[in-house]
Amino acid sequence: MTTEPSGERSPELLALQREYKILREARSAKSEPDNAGFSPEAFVELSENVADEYTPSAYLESAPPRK
Amino acid sequence: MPPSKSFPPEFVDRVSAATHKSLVQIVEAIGVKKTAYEISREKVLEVAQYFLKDLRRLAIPQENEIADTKYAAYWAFWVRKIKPVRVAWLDDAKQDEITDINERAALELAIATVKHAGKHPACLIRGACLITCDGSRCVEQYTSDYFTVNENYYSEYIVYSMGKRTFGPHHLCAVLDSILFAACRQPAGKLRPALNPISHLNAQ
Repeated sequence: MTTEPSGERSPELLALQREYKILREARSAKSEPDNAGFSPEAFVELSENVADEYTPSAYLESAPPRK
Repeated sequence: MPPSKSFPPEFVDRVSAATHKSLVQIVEAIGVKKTAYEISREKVLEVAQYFLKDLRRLAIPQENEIADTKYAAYWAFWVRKIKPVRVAWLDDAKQDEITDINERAALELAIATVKHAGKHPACLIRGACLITCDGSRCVEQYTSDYFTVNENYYSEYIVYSMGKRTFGPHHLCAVLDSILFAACRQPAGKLRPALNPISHLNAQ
């Protein structure tokens, strides 16, 4: 996976990131850095690209939820 | 023990934020109004934690080479499993609940991720494609057809299986691999033999 950086993140995404930092720390989930050689930076960036550049798939228009 | 124990904390925050924002957009793209759904931040945080835990486990034997479809499948799997969308209704009166909103959102999250990963040399299917494409157009076109044919039969079956049957990340990964193969194999230059009934009969 080789996603290129797509520039600055949206204020909305950065604000959410700060809120989740507070939530995580409040839950005492603060962790020690230990990557064990694994760097998921490119993958984390892919997730951010999906969030900041999302375009709904066309199938959603014609495949609405049904009971 | 929180699974984020062995991760740099900022990765959990970033994936949590990306998950939250993606879910908001996807749920609304599905047709739910802003006032008609609720997302649990506690559960979004858990999605990020368990997803990154899986990613780290996968990366060790695979030497950081994780396929886009596998990444997408694991991210979506934890949405389907933890169900961060608490509730969603189709109507303002909040009578018509979408009981499988998490499964629907998870499937679209997976497709959106595969599309965003795009074409690159490490992708065995899209990397070989010679046509001018960003790697998402063919996937978009194929899913638009595949997920809606026969009154949405295939997409509804996937959504049903995700919610009501045993459904692991590997199942979704296989579905995504099949979609990618079907969408991009022929543009990549590996054409099927023409299904010509006359030549077929002549061969007999």
